Amino acid sequence: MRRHYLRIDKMAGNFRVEFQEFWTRTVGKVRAYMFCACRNWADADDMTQDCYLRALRGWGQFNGSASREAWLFGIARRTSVDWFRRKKRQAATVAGANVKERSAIPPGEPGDKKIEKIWDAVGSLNADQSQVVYMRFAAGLSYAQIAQALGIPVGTVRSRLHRGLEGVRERIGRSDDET
Amino acid sequence: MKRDVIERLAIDSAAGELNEDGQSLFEAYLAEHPGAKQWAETMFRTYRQTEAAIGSKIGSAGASIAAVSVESRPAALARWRPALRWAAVVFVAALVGAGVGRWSRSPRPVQKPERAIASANRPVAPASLDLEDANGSFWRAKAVAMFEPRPYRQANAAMQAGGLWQKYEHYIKEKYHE
Repeated sequence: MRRHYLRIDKMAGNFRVEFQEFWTRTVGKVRAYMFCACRNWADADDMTQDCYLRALRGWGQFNGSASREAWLFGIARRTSVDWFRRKKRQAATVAGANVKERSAIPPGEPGDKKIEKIWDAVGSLNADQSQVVYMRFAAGLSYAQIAQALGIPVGTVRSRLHRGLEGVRERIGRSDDET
Repeated sequence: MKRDVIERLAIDSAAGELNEDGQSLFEAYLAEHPGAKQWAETMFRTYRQTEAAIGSKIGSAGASIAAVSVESRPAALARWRPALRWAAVVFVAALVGAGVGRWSRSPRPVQKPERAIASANRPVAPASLDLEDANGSFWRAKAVAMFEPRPYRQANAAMQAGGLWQKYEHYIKEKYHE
């Protein structure tokens, strides 16, 4: 994948300060969210860069109806969706490639078995639920911010988080029973 | 309350999304209902475990990317910036020059016959110069030859004295001018 680099040092004075402050405050959360989405740090870095480039292009279009952070995570979600589509296309065009959305991508550092189980369980949730779970646990967004980022009501966020955690609990319980 | 509602409230409580009143009411309810408390604790545990699992996977996510994108890349580019700038200037200048040369070229002048130019520029012989009298001095013969239409006439004496070789030379000159 082609890498794009942000040139914060090239931006105009006041805007540079503002954007750099925004970057510093949010980049860890965005990167963590991207990692959860693709489960690969290299791709997560690319996606994060892509996300901030998009944010930079649309900086002036932000209308202030949501928080800037929620707006950024809306972009992050679209970036991750585009990334999955691109991966799918690549997998379809490259003969013999076995790129699945999540499971084929090697996980991060191997931890203890319980953590791996929960990690796999969250990964096997449907996209709507896992997005909410990642925004909550990886990015630390509030319900209101998640709702703004995804463009859904707060009640739906609560519902998806509950369903997601329910799914995680069931999968953990099932795997405990199997072992 | 149903289990579903208890679990949702448990998640809200763990996430800090309940206000103070709601939190105290929920705790009071759980204290009175051990069954509900058990459901809530199960969900609390799942919440904490999920949070810990994701937290351990992402680690310190924000540490390295800022260094890669903000510092390393511009440093590498900065070395080549002056050369790139000059190359761009030269390229643009060449482009402008080529464009100007291409679009501002004057139309090619019509090739006029050489004879016409020659006759236009030919000096007119002064009235005092007798063109028929070419047997005078050397310079007079030259002057007469200059005002003669080409191929100019040679002095009769020279033509007669030269013989065959001079006739041939004269013939070659005539051919050349034709």
